[in-house]
Amino acid sequence: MDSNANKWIVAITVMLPTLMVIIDTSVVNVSLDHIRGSLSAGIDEATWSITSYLAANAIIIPMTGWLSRFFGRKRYLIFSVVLFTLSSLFCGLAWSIQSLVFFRILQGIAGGSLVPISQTVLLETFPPAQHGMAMALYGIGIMFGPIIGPFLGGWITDNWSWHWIFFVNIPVGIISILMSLLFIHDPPYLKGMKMRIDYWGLIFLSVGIGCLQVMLDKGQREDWFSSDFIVWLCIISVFALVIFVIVELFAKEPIVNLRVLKSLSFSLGNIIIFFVFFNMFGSIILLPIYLQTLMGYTATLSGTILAPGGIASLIVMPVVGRLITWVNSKAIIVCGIIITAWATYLMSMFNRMADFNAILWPRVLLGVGMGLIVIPLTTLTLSHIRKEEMGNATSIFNLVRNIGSSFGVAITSTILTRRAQFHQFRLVEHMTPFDAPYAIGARQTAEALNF
Amino acid sequence: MMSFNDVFHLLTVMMVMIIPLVFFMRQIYHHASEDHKESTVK
Repeated sequence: MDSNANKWIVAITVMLPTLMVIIDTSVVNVSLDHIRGSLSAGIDEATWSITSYLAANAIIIPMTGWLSRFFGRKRYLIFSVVLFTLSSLFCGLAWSIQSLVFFRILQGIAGGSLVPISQTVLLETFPPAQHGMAMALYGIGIMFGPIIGPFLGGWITDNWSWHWIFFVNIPVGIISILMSLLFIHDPPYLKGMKMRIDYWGLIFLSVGIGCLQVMLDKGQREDWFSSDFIVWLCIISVFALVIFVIVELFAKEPIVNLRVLKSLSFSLGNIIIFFVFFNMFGSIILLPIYLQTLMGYTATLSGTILAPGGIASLIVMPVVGRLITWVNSKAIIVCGIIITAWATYLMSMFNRMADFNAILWPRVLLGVGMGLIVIPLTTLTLSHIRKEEMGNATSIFNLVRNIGSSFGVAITSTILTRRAQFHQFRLVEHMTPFDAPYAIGARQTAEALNF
Repeated sequence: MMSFNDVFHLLTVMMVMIIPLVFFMRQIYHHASEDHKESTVK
């Protein structure tokens, strides 16, 4: 088989399980009520099936580069897909909420590594001139997955049962395992590496990132720092991460090589992707709340508004993948950011009179903007990294992206609640007989009601 | 309603604020990326 056809097969081999993993981050959200009913669990217990997956995912992502070097990338990739497929089977067969949470942790551990591995494999498989196309494939996976996840979960739960949201992973997993065995090969620099295990790095990273992820996921529900649980999570997380940074800077073979952040482009790329995914996930969480609670849209109709944004990204990304060969990548990123800012500005003008089109177009603009940003940004961020450091760099990049998404969801939903309280307070403040507009309005209402 | 507008305003400001960071990134020069030529494709 010629190498041109082979690289596309390699791309499909790594993106198939990656898409499955990303869909699985959001697929459970809509089926939570069915799972609770079926496993006799309370809402707090049931949400642990989402939190546990996200936390396990966040812990394993930064370690992926090191684990790939330690075990060999092909072996580790196949192990991850096998574990993901088996844990999906057991999630579907779960007999209690505790067993489901346990298998979701295994699923998260297995799945977390697949996203950085796929990005590294794509960057090494495609020649530098085609990195744009390679990152377009990666971008489609990471941006389309979270949008179709809730749809797929809802549809499968409504038409079959919640068990099938996990069982559908099994055939995809088996195909991925077979394809990985046939088409993935370790590059020469990864073969025969002898490495020491950085135990302290491993412990502090797991504790720090795990606590941070649980804090972000549970913060809003527990009313943030008024809960002792959240305060302790925050203290442990900060302490563990500070110690982790110190340990890693002095370790000979660190589990995450933070020295890669000395590259200015790489550091800036990480800061930008943090805010871009903060914005993307913040918007994804806000729009359905606005549509369903204020505008009275059904879940399906609000989904119909979200979907075109994902489709817009899907159309834009392959075009951008080709475009970055000729056009300055920075110009494309700036255009993307301006379009995204314009889209959120239009969304900030929404009111109760907004019709379907007035809501749809800003969402499409947001999708176009995101599509324009992600590919050139990923390419620019990773283009100056040596190939020996690529696994480590993609792990850090994906961790920052993941944490940006979690911060986006946590902070936007918190600000929404706090600002709603603020505006309610301001409205109530004026409800006194001494406030002229209120007194006139109250009199007019009373007259209308008497009439 | 106003709380939604506030959050989207914040997201807009945040996006505008990251624009200057882009200009400090290094441009890609494909010919300089010879390091990546060793591919996993057999």
